[in-house]
Formats: sequence, structure tokens, C-alpha cells
Amino acid sequence: MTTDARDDLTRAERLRRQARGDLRPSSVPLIIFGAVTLLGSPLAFDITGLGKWFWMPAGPVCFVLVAAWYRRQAAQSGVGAGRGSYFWTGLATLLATALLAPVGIWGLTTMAFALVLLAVLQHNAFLVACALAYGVIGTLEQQYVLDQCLNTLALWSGWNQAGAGYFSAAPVLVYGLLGLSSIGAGLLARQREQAGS
Amino acid sequence: MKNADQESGSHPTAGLDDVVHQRTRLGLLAVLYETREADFGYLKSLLELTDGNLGRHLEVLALQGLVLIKKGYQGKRPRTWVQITRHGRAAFTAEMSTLKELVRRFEVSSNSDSQ
Repeated sequence: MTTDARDDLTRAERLRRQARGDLRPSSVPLIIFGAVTLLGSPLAFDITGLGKWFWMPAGPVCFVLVAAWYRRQAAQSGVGAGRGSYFWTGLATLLATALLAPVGIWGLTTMAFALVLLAVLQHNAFLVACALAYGVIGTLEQQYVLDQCLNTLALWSGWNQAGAGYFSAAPVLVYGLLGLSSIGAGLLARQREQAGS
Repeated sequence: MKNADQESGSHPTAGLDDVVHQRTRLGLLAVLYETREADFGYLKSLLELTDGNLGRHLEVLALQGLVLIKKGYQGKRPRTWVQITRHGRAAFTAEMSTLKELVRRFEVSSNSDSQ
């Protein structure tokens, strides 16, 4: 009886995990957030400051895209009602960005915070870890911390661009690598999801 | 010395619900607890059941008010959607708690026997 109970518990938990993964696979937000970050990386080189405005709608757009992807998937695979918590998060992120921008908290930080919150609510440990890493790196870059590190490294290595002064390609490199890493994590998650299904 | 059953009054197996406890139906509720709604085809493939078998189990759950079965169309394709009810969610949570309690008691008694 007790062995049966343990087996039943294990099986129910396994099915719950699988259903959760089918309903909201981690790969989708990671690939979308990574692609948008990669797309925005050349704008970091923009000296006009217009690049900053890219991140304002980028977060909400990412969440709405994820919601649309899940909705389409729900219709195809028959799992879930297609209602999107990601859609509402997109709207909330837009509002949060507008409210927090004047105090210097915006863009990647707000996006990552919203993603961490969603991942925690969905009991998705892998997405929590990736969103935290994304948020920490993104926030450090927005405060120019990683810029300075790369600049120091470029000066130390005697690289040409550093010789001209500030290593201006550093933000492009950081955002680009962040985007690529997110896409990489998304593809890894996708591989795991396909292997599990 | 009193045993665990005497201490708490009743054995956890008394809390098991026959309708929910059945292996396939527990699996169905576990999936629906996470997804809220799923279609017949998805449940069939995930739980590796035949049409008839799944249909019978869903009927039992629907009769007890644990799930709602809705038939409709998506485009031209007929689809059967299954939705867990509030009563179904509560029944699943209670069943899982009972199973966990049963396993916990077994582990406690195994440990005390081995000491």
C-alpha cells in the first residue's frame, strides 16, 4: 500500500512537471528575450542616445510575443486554455517601465525582474536561474560596470580601439553576448523539452 | 507505547477518495491541475490511453463534478476539451496530502523499527 502510495505520488509529480513543461516551455521566453537583446545590441553603439529608447518597449513586446507563441501552441497541441499570463505581464512591464524610468530603473532590469517573478510563479527553476543571470548581467551593463571592465581589459591588452580612448564597442559586445547566451540557453531547453516529450 | 494511528485518531488511508485515488484518474487530475484545460488528444497521448479507456475515466470524473467536458470546434476540426473544476482541484490537493502523509508515516515507522 505504501509502496503504491509512493509510486502514485512520484507518477503524479512527474505528470505535473511534464504538463507544466508542455504548457509553458522555458525555451520560448529565452529565445525571444535573447533575440530581442541581440537585435538591440548594435543600438548600444548609438551616440545619439536613441538606443536607450529601444529598451522601453522591448520588454513588453517580448512578453506579448511569448504570450502569442503560447496561445498558438495551445491551439495546436491542445494543452492549456491559451490564456496568457505573459500578455498581462507585458502590460505590467510597460507600466512599471514608465513609472520606474525616472528613477533610473528600467529596460533590462524591469524585464528580467518580471521574468523572474513569472518563472517563480510557474515553478520553473531553470527559467528562474536564466532570468536572474540575464537580469544581473543586464543591470551591471546598464550601470556601465561591465563596460569599464572590458575597457580596462582592452587597455591592458593594448588593443587598437582602446588606444583611441574609450572602448566604445564594449556595450555592443556585452548585449550581443547576453542575447546569444539567452538564445543558447533557450535552444538547450528546447532540446531537453523535445527529449522529454 | 502508542502507534502513529492511535496518536492521531485515524489512519490516512481513511482519507483516500476511491474516485480520485484510481491511478489513471489521479494522473488525469495531476495534468489538469497544472494546465486547467487540455484536449482529449493531449490527455490520451500523455497518459498513453485508448479513446475508450480515457472516455470512461473522464465520465467518472465528470459525474463527480471534478471535471467539465466541453465539445466544440477549432476551425473545422472537432475537439473535446476537459477542464478541471474547483472541486476537482480541491480533491486532487487533498489526495496528494493524504498520499504524502501515508508515505511520511511509513518512513517514520520504518526508521523507528530499524533503531
